[in-house]
Amino acid sequence: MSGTGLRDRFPWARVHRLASPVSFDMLGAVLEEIAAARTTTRRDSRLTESSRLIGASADIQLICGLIDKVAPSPATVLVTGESGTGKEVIARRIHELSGRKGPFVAVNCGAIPDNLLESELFGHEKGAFTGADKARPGRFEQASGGTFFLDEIGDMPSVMQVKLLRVLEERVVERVGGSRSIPVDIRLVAATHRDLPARIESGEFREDLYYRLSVFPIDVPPLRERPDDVLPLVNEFSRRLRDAGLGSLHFTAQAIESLQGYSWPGNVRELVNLIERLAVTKPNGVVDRCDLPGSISEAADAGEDSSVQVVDAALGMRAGDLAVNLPAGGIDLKRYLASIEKRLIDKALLESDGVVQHAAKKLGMGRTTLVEKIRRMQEAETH
Amino acid sequence: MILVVEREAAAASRLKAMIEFFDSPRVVIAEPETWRREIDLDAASGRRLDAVFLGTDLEDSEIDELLEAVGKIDPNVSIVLLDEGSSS
Repeated sequence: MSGTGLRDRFPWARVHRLASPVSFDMLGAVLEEIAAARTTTRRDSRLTESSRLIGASADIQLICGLIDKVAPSPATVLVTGESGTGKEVIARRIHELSGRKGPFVAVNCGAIPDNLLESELFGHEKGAFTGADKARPGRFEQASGGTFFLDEIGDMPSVMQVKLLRVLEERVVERVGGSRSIPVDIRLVAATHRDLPARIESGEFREDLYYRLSVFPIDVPPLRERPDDVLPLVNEFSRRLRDAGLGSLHFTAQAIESLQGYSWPGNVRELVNLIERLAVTKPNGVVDRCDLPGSISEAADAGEDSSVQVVDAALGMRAGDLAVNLPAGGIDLKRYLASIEKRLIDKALLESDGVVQHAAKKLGMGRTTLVEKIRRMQEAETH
Repeated sequence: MILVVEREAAAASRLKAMIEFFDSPRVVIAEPETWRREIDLDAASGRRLDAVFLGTDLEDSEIDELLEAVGKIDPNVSIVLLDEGSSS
């Protein structure tokens, strides 16, 4: 087999060559490269491998309308929203409706080490650096004719921001170690969970790049702000689970009520993970409120609304301000305090992008203390 | 899923065993005439295609046909060409 001219005919293809007979060393190296490529291009669960936007809320209907409008145009789109809200699903949908014949290529800027990002995006010429024993096109070239999805754009290093700006302005790329300007016909969709204007203020993100990216902004609200979407999402993911032969789940009305009342700090991705976990723990079963993790089932317990008021009031309470209401039926103080603690830890972790050290600082505790608390919470959820 | 497309059954089985040694995703062997069915079956069952290993005895036209099909499913899938006497 030769595979002659494969690069020219299939510029998007990520091709590896392996000498036959195959040695364990070479095979292991190739499999490692494959695994690394998969983590940088796809992170979502098999249940979310679809470009269909699911939801009944006015927010989702609005977003669907925006997608329909922008998809056929060449405009650059900036999708913003918390982690797990489905920004890549929106990007895929835009590509599907765009009519562009080329591939959809996704790169997560936050998952690739800074020193490798340039080569990944722009490619390299043979001999550009140690180990570059052959020329390789970058992701921009691979996406030519299609849509290029740059996820976590807010995490892109400053040096790369300058290079990306040039691509957007001139529609050409230069491989690492090369001097040729290679034209690329891409439609760019970028996404981030970061507050880009705040990052501009702090000097971490270029203002000129921001305006280039936000030609058509789409903001995805967190799942907690659109509880109407929970039931359609649960139904859809349960259906996909069943269609994939991975089991059948049925939720009671009480369970759905709990799911709708929960704050979903991890958004749709957290819901998907929960459903996948339930498919294992309750195969082909009926899921009731008591089958849900404590943090979720508590969300709809009697007096939950009052408890939230207690929590919120307590958090906003200043010295001498005792304007909190005790529900008529009383509360289980230990459980409520645990619930407050969990919500604050979840929030701190979310705002710290999962970096425990930073979350611990926000919470005014030591890292090891926080790690221990998280471990205990996870244990409590699995029991 | 990792798909191994190879006409010679013994070579395909040997490669499958080696890939599985590395704790890889599910490995499926197919011949150049049957790979499409395997890809469709896997897609229908909700699994993702991670990589395709192409044996040494495939014609260029067969490789082109397969890459076109894979590109439509997911252009991020890795393609591994087995070459006699060369290495990456």
